[in-house]
Amino acid sequence: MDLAILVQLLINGILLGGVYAMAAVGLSLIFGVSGVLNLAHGEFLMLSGFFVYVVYDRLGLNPFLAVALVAPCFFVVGYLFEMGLIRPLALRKEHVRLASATLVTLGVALIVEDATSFASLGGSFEKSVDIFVPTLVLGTVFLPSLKLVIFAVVLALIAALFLFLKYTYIGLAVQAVTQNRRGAVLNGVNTFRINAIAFGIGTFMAAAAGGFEVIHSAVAPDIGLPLTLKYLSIIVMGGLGSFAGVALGGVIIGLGEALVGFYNPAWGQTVAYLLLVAILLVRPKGLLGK
Amino acid sequence: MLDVDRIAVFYGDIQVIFDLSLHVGEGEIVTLIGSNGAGKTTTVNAISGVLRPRSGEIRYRGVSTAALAPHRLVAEGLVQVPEGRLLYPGLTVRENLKMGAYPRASRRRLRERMDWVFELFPRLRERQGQSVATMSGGEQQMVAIGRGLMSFPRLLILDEPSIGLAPLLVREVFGVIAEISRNQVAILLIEQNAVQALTLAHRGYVLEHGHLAHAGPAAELLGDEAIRSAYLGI
Repeated sequence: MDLAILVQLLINGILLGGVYAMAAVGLSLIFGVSGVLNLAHGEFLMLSGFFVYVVYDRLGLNPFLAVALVAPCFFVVGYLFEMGLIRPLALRKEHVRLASATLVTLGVALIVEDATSFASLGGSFEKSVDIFVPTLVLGTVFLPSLKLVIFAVVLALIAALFLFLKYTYIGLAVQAVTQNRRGAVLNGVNTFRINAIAFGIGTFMAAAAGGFEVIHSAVAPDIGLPLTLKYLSIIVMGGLGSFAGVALGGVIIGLGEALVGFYNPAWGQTVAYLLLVAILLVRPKGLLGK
Repeated sequence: MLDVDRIAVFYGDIQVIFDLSLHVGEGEIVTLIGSNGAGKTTTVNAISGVLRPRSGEIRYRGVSTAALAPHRLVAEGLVQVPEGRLLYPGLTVRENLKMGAYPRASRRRLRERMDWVFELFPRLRERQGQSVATMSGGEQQMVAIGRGLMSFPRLLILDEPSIGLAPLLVREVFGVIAEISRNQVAILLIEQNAVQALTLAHRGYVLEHGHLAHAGPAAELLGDEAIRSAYLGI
């Protein structure tokens, strides 16, 4: 392969991996705090993408502005989702609670997917935003400036989450609940509220990723569950409980897709799972798992 | 301060605590002793609101705790330092202590309180930036007690604070408990280490298979022949 093409693919892969990493960090946060595997995570991403499209299409807003408008609303969506559908299961026995909660999220995922499909009847299922940004050229390498901007915002959001967890009381409580829920209860933490906040933040991260997805590529009603599975692979690959691992996993999957997809786009999607199996064979707890 | 009034506690269908009553007064150190599996920790969890008694009533400062969630009780000053410590292994000593001051009223006096905890446990001041996962059992117990103190408890429940500690450390921990008590904190001390607990406490209760077997001034229990042979190993 031409070196210039390789560099090009590496750049594309890393930029793609950044968006994956952000959405996967959100899913990992929800799982870590509540123990619930939120199968509706990818649906919220897709739904947010649709709303960003609508805001852009109908109101003619700059798509990035549309993301800034739509994604925070999904904090509220995630918060209410936890309050309304997950919390009522809290009094069940632990294994029943986790199994039922996961099934509830699957139900929501299917409903959101079908509802979005119905809403798009008569139009195109795939939505994308037309936005032209001149591409930067460095020698023989093209820097897709749109993806660069997205990558910068993604980095900023992940950094903001990190600072929030490290330096605010609520953030500290989110970590505390993840590490020892019973201990947190005895420190006066309302763990239900922290669950809801984690769902809110995680869903916000997914929604932001959905907005960027519709800007640099496209969203369609059926992308949700496959994406959730991809994020799950990223989390397991990186090591449960390690945000740095999740970020690394996201970039690896992004790179794998870009490199393999260059030769055969169909295999680009499958490579995530092959990479997952390969890495787990060598490191059963994931790349940075403890 | 605390009145436990004829409670019965169940795990599912299995009754663990039978008709238990106990009382902790203002400024008192009261100990609850008993062998493994007697129901000590179950009692503590019922008082903290983590478990709910099926019958009977628990009153804290004259008010029934039945309608109060555990985190509300902590804000009211009823604080448990649990068995097994339940620390946050990925957080530093300082962050663990900070979490202890989570209730809003105590956050405002965080610095003042942390200084006091560092006075009680000077070693924690040196290690405040260290992750607790890397600390010894004794140091972790200090963090657990310190964390409990951060929320300005009026009643501090210590569940087996001496478990797994070397004798010298046990003495240090018991010394600190006495010091905490001098600061107008009522203390309910759960212990297997009955001699030391009764030596420190004003009064004691002995739990046997979920039933209250003996109760009285600590000195009296220490002198009781039946208790001596059953719990004190003398």
